Amino acid sequence: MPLTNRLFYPQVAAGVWADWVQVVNVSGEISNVKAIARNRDGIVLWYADKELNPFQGWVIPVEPVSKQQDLSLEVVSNKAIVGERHCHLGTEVLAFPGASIEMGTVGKRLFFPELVAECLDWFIVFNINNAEANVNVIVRDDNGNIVRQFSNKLRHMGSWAFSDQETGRVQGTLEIISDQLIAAERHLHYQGTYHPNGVAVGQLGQVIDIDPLPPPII
Amino acid sequence: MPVGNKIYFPQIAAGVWADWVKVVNINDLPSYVQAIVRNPLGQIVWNANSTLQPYQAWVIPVDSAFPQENVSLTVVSERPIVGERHCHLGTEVLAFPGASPEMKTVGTRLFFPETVYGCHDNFRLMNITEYYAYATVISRDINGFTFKRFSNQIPPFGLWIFLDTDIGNVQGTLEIFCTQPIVGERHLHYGNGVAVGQLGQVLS
Repeated sequence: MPLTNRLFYPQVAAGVWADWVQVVNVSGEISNVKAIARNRDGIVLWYADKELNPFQGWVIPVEPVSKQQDLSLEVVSNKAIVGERHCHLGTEVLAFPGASIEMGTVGKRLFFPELVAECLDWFIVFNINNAEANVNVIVRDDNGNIVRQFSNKLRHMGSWAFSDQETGRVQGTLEIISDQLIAAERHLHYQGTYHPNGVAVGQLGQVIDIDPLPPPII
Repeated sequence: MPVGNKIYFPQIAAGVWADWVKVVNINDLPSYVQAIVRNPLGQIVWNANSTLQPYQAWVIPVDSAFPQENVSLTVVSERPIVGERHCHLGTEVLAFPGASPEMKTVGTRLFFPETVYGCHDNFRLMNITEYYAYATVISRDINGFTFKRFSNQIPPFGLWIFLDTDIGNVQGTLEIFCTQPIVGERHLHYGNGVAVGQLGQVLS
């Protein structure tokens, strides 16, 4: 499996949430790394770059830029790279690895094994292409019955957020099918009888494409 | 990319931690699913099964079966399957997808982009093969300098756990080389009611 030189983070959060993103050059050579932040329409609003020694880490200073609006983040390197994001608010932490084709976290068919009826489920989908993406969402209950279906178009390098209002507060699962490559995050915020407040869980969609692995983005 | 029909969870936690594991048959045909629990030496100590309809979910009743000992869980299905685990204690939740070679979360070279000085980092490796695995750990500081190196052997389907005291409580990164495919979990405990769970990122 080749290592990746391009990572995608569908969200760097606005408002009171504090984001921390660290990337590491995992090659034996010096690497030039560039970080690019975009708004939901895919428009570049900020970028920064840095030269990293082998296995050196870089905490990308994107957070001040995202105070007013959610941004996405793309990190491009001329050598292999891995990364991680933590998004904090009190005891709530949403943690994600950087998504990539090579790591198997970017695809055209993504699956989330859980939706919780009494908690807050929030999703963000990031189109990592230079073409518009048509995205369909299927919500099922735990018995596999389809409860809802809806769709949207995402601009190139744009993102789309939806939540319980769209999914219908179902105890079940969620599938996303796209005609372009996407990465997607789920944010589960606990609330209700059996779930203590102050807890959040972040998950990337699990890729269940049956097609061959798409070629790397150059 | 094919989806796996075998997924691995390196830990079902003992003691006060409450585990919840859910798997879903993501196929259009019914699937016979078996859950197998092993102790840290790789010995089978419990199993259960269920037949799942297309896209039906099963919450595996493994937590109540093993309250006394940390164990691992392997889920084998006739058809493609995905899964997820949440391990709870108060406001601390460790969340993991089920790992598999097909999902690219199993490999012979794993990387964790962060270790935190001052927090509690706990790592757990599961050897998913029937052979002994020889694992080497490299702990580096944030500038890429090697801080500590150590190794161990893991029995077939067995576990190895190591902590801050082993990696040197360093602000940096962690890399694991192994002779057999493994899954690695990191548990980061902030110490104030916050925990984060992460699978090792495969660099194989």
